[in-house]
Amino acid sequence: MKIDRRFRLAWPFLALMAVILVDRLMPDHGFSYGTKYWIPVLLGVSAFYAVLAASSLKKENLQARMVHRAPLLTVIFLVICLLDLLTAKTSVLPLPYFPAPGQIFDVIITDWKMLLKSAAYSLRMLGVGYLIGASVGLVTGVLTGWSKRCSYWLSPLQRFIGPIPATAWIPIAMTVFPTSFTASTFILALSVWFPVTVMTGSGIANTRRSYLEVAQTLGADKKYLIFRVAVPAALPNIFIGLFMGLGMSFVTLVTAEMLGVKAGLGWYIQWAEGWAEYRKVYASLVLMAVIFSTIITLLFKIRDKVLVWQKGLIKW
Amino acid sequence: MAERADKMVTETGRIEIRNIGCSFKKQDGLLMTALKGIDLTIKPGNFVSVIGPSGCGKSTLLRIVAGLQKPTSGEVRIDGVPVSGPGYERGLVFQDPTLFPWLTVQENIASGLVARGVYKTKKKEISDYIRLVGLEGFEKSYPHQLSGGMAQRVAIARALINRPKVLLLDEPLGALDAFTRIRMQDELLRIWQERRNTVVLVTHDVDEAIYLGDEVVVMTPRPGQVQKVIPIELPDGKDRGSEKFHFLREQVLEVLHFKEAG
Repeated sequence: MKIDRRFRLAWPFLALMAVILVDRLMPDHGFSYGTKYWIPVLLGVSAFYAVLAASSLKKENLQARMVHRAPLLTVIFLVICLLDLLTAKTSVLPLPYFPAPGQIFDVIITDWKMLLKSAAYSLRMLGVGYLIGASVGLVTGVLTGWSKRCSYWLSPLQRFIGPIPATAWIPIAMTVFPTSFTASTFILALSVWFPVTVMTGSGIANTRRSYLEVAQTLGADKKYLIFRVAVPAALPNIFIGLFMGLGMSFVTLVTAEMLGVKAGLGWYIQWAEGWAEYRKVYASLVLMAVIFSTIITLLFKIRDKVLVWQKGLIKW
Repeated sequence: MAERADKMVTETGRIEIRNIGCSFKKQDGLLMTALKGIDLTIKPGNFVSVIGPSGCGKSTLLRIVAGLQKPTSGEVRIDGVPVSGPGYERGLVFQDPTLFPWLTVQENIASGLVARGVYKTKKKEISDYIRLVGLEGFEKSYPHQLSGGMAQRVAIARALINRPKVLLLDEPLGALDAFTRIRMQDELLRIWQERRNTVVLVTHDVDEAIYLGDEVVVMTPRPGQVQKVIPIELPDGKDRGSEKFHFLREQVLEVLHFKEAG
């Protein structure tokens, strides 16, 4: 007889209980950071999950989704439990390099002011640099893609400057620009500009001729041909450039922060490492994962909105 | 649609093709003559089918009339005005519907109005054209959701909304299956009878040429020249099975050398 799939709803809860029991009942091995918020939060999560699971028994939709996610959640909690065992409980992975999950979590809460400030700095620089780089990239991309003359003058520059990793400019930028913020913003913008301009340019240049011809027989002028035919036709390509630029911008941001800027999550990692505070290094990594992943998801959402007309979009 | 406007269309749309020649440089550097000495006058409001073996340059001729290609020699005039480039008074429909995939059906049909900057004053007409080609209910669909026949209807409506004096059709039904094709032929005929603008249809389907045209222009193989202009007179109406239709088909095939004379 087949076991009712609804039993799966209990797995994550049991795994959570395992995490809590292991953490509470087993003594830490040798010196350890204590945790204050970890267990209360885990208890809160367990309670929340229990309520959700119970209420899903009546709602078909929610239940299907929860049953679908249950194995994944279970494994995540078990991995957390395993990590706790390997680090704090047995020191197979020793401190200070390998803090327990609970210890990382506690540091996120106790040092939230500093982390929040660092995240805000990072986001500011990312936002300003990305917007500048992407806008300039779109403009130069459209110019080089559409006009032969622009391509003649701009492409060599693009081909010569573009492939240099933007971070290699850091020493020069730091001396040329008045502040480290402007210097890093410039470098960040540069790293975004390259993929955006290349992808936009090739997208525009490869616009199907027949689209342009049909538009001309409909009475289109140059403005219409560029902005209402070539640009929309290039949009799938433009978004690839925007995604590549986003990935580059993360790399450049963190590198710039670690090398020169005195703020941001990259700097925070550097600073925590100096104090051998690896809990904080991991805390910063966790925050980066959350923030960067959210930004990528956001760009995917925007793309899905803009490119509804396209068949077979890549999912994130 | 206003009747007056339709009558106005009928009085314009004379196409004069004078001594058109067109040659291309091939990849090996040799000159290839696609068209040679084409002389043709198409009366306003006529439906003319152009037929000929593949590679005879009939599509090139259409592109020259549309202004998308410059002839090597000769001149095309529309109502006495020489053609110097593409323009909305000569609508064009390709074999591939070439709809803008980023626009909905409705937006595709309206794109001619937007391109000419008359969208605001004429947007009320969009629904008329959607009805004309029978696509009610698909206004918000995107091209990739349409069948081949539906997409071609959109392309036709998009070309018609600018009220072109001349409608140029380059094998518009060539990619459709036989059933859809026959249905679309009737549709084209109905639309033309309603609007009476000049239509030039390039096709390689003899029946289609006879069924739709007032005249069938038969072209020779490369270099393309006008071999014969056959007037189509079917007093009993368009009936593919009639004796007269059969006779015309034989006549066209004979000119095309698919049948022995006699």
